[in-house]
Amino acid sequence: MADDPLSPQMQQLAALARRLESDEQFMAWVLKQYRALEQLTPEALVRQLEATPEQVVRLALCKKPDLRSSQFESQLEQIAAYTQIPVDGLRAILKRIHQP
Amino acid sequence: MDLANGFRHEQELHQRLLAGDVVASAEIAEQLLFAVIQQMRRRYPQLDEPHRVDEAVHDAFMTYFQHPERYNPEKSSLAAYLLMSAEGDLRNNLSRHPVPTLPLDTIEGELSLVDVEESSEPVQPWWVRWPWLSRQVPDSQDRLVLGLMLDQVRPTAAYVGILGIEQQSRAEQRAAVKRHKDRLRKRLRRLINPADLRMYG
Repeated sequence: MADDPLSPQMQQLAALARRLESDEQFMAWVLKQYRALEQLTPEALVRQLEATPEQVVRLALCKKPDLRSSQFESQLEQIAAYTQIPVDGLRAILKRIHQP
Repeated sequence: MDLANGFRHEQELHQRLLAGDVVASAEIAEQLLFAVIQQMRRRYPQLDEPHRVDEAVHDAFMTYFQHPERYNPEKSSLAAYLLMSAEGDLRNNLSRHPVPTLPLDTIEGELSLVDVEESSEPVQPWWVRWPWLSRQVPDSQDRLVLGLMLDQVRPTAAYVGILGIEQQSRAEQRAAVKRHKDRLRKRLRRLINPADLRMYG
């Protein structure tokens, strides 16, 4: 799947996601932090999440759930349902970057 | 999805973004980003650096995601708002870093104000003179309509979202769009001395 080129639409979404890596409100920022912490390539992150590149682009465009909020789990489930990425992997990444 | 349903879906996504829905931003980008970029590229076909269009659109989406409360659904569709925001960013960028201009169509011809074949003088494309034009048309809705007219966009459907008349019948929409375009043409005819326009810029 990693060898499949992204569609023009998806390439534009990926470009926007890259811009959002500087915004802490977005999962794009979370994924960038996580990759840096774990020294992962983008392809390795896709594999770890058991996802496709398209799914990870959609994930990056989502807002970051608030770990301290009572809605954290429901927000996480909502992202998992939208992106079709397993929820356990998403939870692990969010908890990892918020570890002191 | 027809126009009315598309408009309603946009508004639902906007309300969800305002309410803190964590996937609304992604859904809005999926639905509108590519369409806004394509529209901008059609409006600026002479631009040799299309990445400046893309960056302007990305900026518009990022600003909207940060400040969704600035968008007023009663004034325009979300797509029209993002397009206007991107155009503002692009024009600011172009005014700071101008690109070479080309002797292409004239605004007079694009709006059918004068017979352009009367003049053999090369003139600049209309968008180079946009700062001047936009001052003559202070209303944001009028500016969006004018932009489409200058792009020679004919289908009524393209104007419906901007004018917020999705609920009207097709015949009413056609009539309303025609009235709006005629009013703008009349106004510009009063304002524009074609000779002055050729010298402008």
